[in-house]
Amino acid sequence: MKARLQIFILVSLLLIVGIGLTIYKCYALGFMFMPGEETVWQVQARMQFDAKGGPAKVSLVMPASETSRREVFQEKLSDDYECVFVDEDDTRKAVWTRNDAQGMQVIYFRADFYRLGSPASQAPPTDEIPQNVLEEPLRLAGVDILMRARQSAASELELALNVLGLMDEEKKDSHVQLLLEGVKYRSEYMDQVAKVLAMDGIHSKVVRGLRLQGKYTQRSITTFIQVFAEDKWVLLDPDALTELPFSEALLWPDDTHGLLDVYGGVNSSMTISVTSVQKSAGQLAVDAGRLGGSKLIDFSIYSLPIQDQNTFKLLLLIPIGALVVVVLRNLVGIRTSGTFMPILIALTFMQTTLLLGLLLFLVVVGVGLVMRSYLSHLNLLLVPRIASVLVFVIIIFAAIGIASHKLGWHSGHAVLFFPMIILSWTIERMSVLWEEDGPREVLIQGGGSLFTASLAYLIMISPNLEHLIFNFPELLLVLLAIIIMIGSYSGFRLLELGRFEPMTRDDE
Amino acid sequence: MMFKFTTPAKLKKAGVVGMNRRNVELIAQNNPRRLYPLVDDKLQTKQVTEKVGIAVPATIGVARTQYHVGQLGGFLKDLQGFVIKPSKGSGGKGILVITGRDGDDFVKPSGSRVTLKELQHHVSSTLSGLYSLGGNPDVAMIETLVEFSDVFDGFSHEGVPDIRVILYRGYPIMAMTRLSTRESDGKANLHQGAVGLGIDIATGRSLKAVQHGKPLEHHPDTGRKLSELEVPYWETLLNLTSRCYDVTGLGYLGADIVLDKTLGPLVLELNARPGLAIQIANGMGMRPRLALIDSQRDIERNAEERVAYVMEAFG
Repeated sequence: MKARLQIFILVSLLLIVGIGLTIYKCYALGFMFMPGEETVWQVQARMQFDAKGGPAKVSLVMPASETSRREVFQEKLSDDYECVFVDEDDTRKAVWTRNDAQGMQVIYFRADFYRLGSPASQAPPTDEIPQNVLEEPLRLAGVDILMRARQSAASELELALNVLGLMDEEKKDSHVQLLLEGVKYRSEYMDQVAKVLAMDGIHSKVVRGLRLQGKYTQRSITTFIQVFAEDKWVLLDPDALTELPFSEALLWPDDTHGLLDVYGGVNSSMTISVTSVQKSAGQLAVDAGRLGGSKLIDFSIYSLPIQDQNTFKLLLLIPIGALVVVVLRNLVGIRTSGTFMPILIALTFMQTTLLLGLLLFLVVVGVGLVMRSYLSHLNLLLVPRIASVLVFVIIIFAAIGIASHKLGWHSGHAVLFFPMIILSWTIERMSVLWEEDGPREVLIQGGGSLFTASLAYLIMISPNLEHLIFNFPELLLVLLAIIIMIGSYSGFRLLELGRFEPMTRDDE
Repeated sequence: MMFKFTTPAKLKKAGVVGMNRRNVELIAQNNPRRLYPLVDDKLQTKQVTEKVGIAVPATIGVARTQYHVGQLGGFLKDLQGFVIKPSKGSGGKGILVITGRDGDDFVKPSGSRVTLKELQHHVSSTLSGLYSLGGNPDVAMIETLVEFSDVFDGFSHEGVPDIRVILYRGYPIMAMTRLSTRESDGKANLHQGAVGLGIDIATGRSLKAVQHGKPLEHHPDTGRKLSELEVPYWETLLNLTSRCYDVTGLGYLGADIVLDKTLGPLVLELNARPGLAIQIANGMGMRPRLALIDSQRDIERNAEERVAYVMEAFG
C-alpha cells in the first residue's frame, strides 16, 4: 500500500508540473497547441546623418513595451558604434555612440514583432479634462463641429469618428478652417481634434505609431489619436476614419516627440521599412521568450543549435513509441518479439514510409530466417551464431540495394535505415521461437511486433503530435505519469478477456 | 479462429488473476529479485533443497569445465541411464536423456544412438552457454534417470507429464498437470493444444480437463477417461512443495513435481514466475484462494500445517 501512495503522489506531481508548465508556456509565453503560422512584422529603421567629426551619439526611442506585444528579434547593425539600451521613465531608448565620426553615417536597427495587442495601459484616464481648451472664437467653431458630429452619432466612438471626418473632409468649412489655421503638422492637427473632443468631455490622446498593414515596405511614422470611449481606449485611424485594431499598429509611448536624436551630426533622417513574413508560431514563441529573458526558454532544448534540435525532435518521439508499446503490451496484451524492438522499427518506418518499410522488413527477416535455419544444424555458440546472422543481414541489405539499383527501383536503398543489430537479434529470436514453440508463435509475436511498430509509426508521424511534444517537452512528464500509472495497473488486459473467457461460461 | 470476449466484471467475479495483477501484486510483492538466481539456476535449487531433505532427482555429477568434458567417458562408463541438463536452461532446451547403452554408445529414449564424442560436444556446448538464457556460461548437471510411476499411463500422448503446484506464501493453492497430445506435438503447452487437467488440492484427484479452453472428458489421442487420474502420495507431494517455500522464500512459487516409481514425488524444478494457465485448467480463478491465504497472514504454520490447512480449506 505504501508503494501505491508513493505512486499516487509521484504521478500527481508529474501531472501537475507537466500540465502546469504546458499551460504556463501556452498562456504566458504564447506557445501554440497546434502548429500554425503567425505574421511577423519586420521593422527596420535606417538612420542617416552627416557627422561633423568628433564624438557622435544617436538615440532612438523604442516602441512602447507592452506585454501583449512580442518582440522576437533585434539587430543593431552598426559596426563602428557601440549600442546600449537606456531606460528612462517609461521609455526605452537605443543609444549608439562613437568617438570619432566623420562623413555620412548610416545605422540600421531591426526589430521583429508579432501578435501586437492592445496596450498594457488600459487603465482609464485619471486626469480631469481641462476646461476652456479652446478660446473664442475657436470655441464656437468647435461647438458647431460637435453639434454637426452629434447628429448622426449613437456613441462616443462614432462621435469621435465624425469629428475626425468633419475636420478632415470639410476643409472649406469656415469653422474647420478657423480651427486648423496655422496647423502645419499632422500632430498639430490631431491636437486640435483632441481639443474639440475634450469640449464634449471625451478623453483622448495623440500617439505616434507605425501602421502595420498592407504590403508597402516604405512607410513613415505617423500620428494617431486614441480616445477613451465606452470604458476603453480605442485607436482611431485618421486617414481611413475607422477604428484601428491595436494589433495593426506599432505605437510609441505617449508624449514622445522626437523619436530620433542625433548629437554631433547634421541632416539626420530616418526611413522605416516594414515587411511581413509568415513564421512558425512555435519558433516565434521561443524567440520572444528568449528575448524576454525567460529562464524556462534559456535552459531548454531551444537553446541548442538547430541541428541538435532536430536530433532531439526524433529523441522526443521515442517516449511516445514507448507509451504505445506499454499500452499494447500491458493494456491490450499483444506479445511482441523484443520489448522495444517495435519502436526502433517504427523509427525506421519514419525514414522509409510504412508500406515500403513493412515490405523490406518482411523480406529481410524472411530471408534471414531461412539462412538462420541452416545455422541451427551446425550447433554454433551463441555469439558467433548471431554474428553470422548479422553478416547475413548485411549481405541481404547489399543484395537488396544492388538489385533495386539495377532494376531502377531506388526505394530499395531505404533498407539501409533498418537497424542491423536489432534485425539480427529479431531473426535469432524468431528462429529460436520457431524451433521451440512453432510457427504459430512466430506469427503471433512477429505480427504483434509489426502491428505495434506500425501503430507507433502512425502516431509518431502526426505533425500535431510532433509539434506538441517538441514545443512542450514537459509533456514528457505527463507521459511518464501515464506510463507509471499503467505500470501499477493490475486489472485485466484486453486480450485476457478472450483468454479467460471459457472460465466465465458456466455462469450463464 | 473465433475469439470470444467476456467482460472484466465477469472475470473479476470468477476470481481470475490477470497478467498485470500477477506481475504487480503476486510477483513484485512476494518475490524479491535477489531470490531469483536460486530458482533460475537448477544446480543452486538442488543444493538448497537437498540440504533440507527435499526429494530431488539425485545428482550423479556436475561438469563445470572443459577438463570435466574430457573425463566424461570414464565417469559415465558404468551408468545405464542418466539425464544431462543445463543448469540455467529454459523451456526444456538442452536436456539429453539416455536410457541405455549399446557398447560404447549411448541410447536415447527414441532408440537413436549417441556416440561419446557427440555427448561430449553436447556438454561442451552447454558449458559455453548454448542453452542458457542470454547465452551465459553454464554448467551441465548429470542426474539419475527418473523411473516414472505408471500413474500417467494412457493420459499423455508422449513423455511423462509433471505436476505443477502453485504456492502462495508457502500454501499450495492450485495444482494441475499438462498432458501432451498429438496436436501439441508432444509438448506440454496449453497454447499448442495440450490438455490442461486441474488437480484437486484436497484430494489429488483430477478436476476438470480443458483443451483450447473447452472442457473434455477423454484424452483426444489415447481415449483415456481423464477423471480417473488420481495422484498418489498427494499429501507427501504437497508437503514437498510447501517446504520449497521455506528454503527459497519466494511467496509466489511454482513447483514442478515428477513421480518416481520407487522414490515417490521429486521436485524437478522451481519457478519464480509461474503462469496463469493453471486457472483455466482448474476452471477457477485464484483470487478467492489468495484472499483466504492472506487472511492467515498472522498465523505461523510449518509446511505440514500449511498443507493440512489447505487440504481442509479447499476441500
